[in-house]
Amino acid sequence: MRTNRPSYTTDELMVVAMSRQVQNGDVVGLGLATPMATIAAFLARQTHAPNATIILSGAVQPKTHNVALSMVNPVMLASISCGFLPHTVTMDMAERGVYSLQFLRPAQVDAEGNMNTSLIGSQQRPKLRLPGGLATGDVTLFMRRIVLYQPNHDLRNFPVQVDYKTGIGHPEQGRWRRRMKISGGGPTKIITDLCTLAFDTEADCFAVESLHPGISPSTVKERTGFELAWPTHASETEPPNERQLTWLRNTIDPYAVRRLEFKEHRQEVLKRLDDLQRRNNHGQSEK
Amino acid sequence: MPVNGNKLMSLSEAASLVEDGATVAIGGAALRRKPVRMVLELARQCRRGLHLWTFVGSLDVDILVGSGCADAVSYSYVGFEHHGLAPRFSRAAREGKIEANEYSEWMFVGGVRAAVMGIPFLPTHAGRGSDLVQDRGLKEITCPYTGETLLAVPASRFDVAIIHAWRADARGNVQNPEFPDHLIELDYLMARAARHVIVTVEKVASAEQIEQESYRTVLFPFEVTAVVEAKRGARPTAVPPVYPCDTELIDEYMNRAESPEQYSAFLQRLSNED
Repeated sequence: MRTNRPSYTTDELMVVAMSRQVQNGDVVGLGLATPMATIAAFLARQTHAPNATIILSGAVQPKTHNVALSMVNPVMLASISCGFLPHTVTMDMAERGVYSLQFLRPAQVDAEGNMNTSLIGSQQRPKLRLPGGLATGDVTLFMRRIVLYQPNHDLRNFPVQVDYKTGIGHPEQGRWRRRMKISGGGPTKIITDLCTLAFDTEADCFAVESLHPGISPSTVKERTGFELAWPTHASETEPPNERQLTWLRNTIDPYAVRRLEFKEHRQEVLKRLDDLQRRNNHGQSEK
Repeated sequence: MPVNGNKLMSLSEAASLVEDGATVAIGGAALRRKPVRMVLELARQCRRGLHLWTFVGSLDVDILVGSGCADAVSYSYVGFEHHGLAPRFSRAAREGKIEANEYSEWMFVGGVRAAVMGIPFLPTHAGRGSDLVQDRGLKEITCPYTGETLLAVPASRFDVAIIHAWRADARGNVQNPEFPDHLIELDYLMARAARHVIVTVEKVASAEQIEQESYRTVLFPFEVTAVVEAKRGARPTAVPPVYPCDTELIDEYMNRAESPEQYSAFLQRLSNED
């Protein structure tokens, strides 16, 4: 009997699974509009990876804090960090291999791990123009590990082939990366609301690493547009423990801004952030 | 124009430095330090055929595209952060009314850096294999020392750069507050890649004030064409730590973007905001 297991939500399970991808000693780069990644990195540094280095929007090793506050008030980040790296310095660090991990959340990922953050539909007549990929096309070539995440695992997000290749995955059974002497590992993992996938370079495909509790293999198959490799016995994703949930709920994300990345919760989180911003703006006097 | 002459201009005079069809770099990133007042002035003067370049665009791009001033936008990201997509930009891009030229970060910044360094291109490991390489017409190069294949990003030079800063004197010494903003250097890089530089400022400072805090100076008279006093000139975007982003106005902008009447009335209101 698992009587002592604390209860948790899917977004908590996902963010904890993401945080487990951060290894002790990692240098993690975090940018715009990915609150789940930011929360996962702080959670990891606070639990199993105390020697991880976090660089958030250029701020070096910001203290663990309620991430909603730094989202609405950039001035705050300056007061809880050791200093800031100008962006070109960060870029140079990444290209020479100083960063080891980045989380990305593309709109589409395909069987080869190619990532699309540019447009949906055809290039000439797109159905939707997305905001743009920022460093997606770059960091896939020199980060040791790219961990992808997708809070809405469905056929549209995991097609056989992406509509646009903003960032490259593992084409030509890995030969392209070897031929081009690419130093980065490309997308190594995908964390979704259903499961954890790992790219198997031998088999040249994504393999199911673990299924989230209560998720059946058929659900994952139905909602993935390409073939996955299945282990003889897929394990269950380890649920969040008490300590992780306490950090998450009490310190790092009491406003649940991780849910900004879930369609069904987006509006409610936006409202919370707007209220917080109003209170913050009210307190910030003009100079 | 004499290097140390008086660079002070009105909004409308400075806007006339931006000709129809010009290649215009815009400073600021996301919802910070966007030269909104100058953007609104260009829209008011019905500038046409601009090619905009901005690293992380938001309201700047959306107003100029939404007002029919721009034919092309080169960018790494255009959006309103967690508030959502840039409404008029995404629609114009979807309908094929503008060229939406997405660049990866290394492609965009590499091109600006090459221009600043005075070299024709900058080699990088980044971006290879992306569809953006072909679509932007970028070429690869073989390293003469290692034989490695690298991406060669061509220099991006601009007719005009428009940035919003904290203060400047009439000669064109530009200063920013001591706030560590990791993207602020892009403003200076883009300025140094442009033939003309328009700086809107929160306030005009005296030469003495500038000299007393000379460590704050980020751009100098020999690289600045025009200084325009525009108090709260980035509103509703933020100038940290002077004022925060007015998210209510941002949300209202997004709500008014659909209807042509409401949209132009709202832009009018933004121009008259103090």
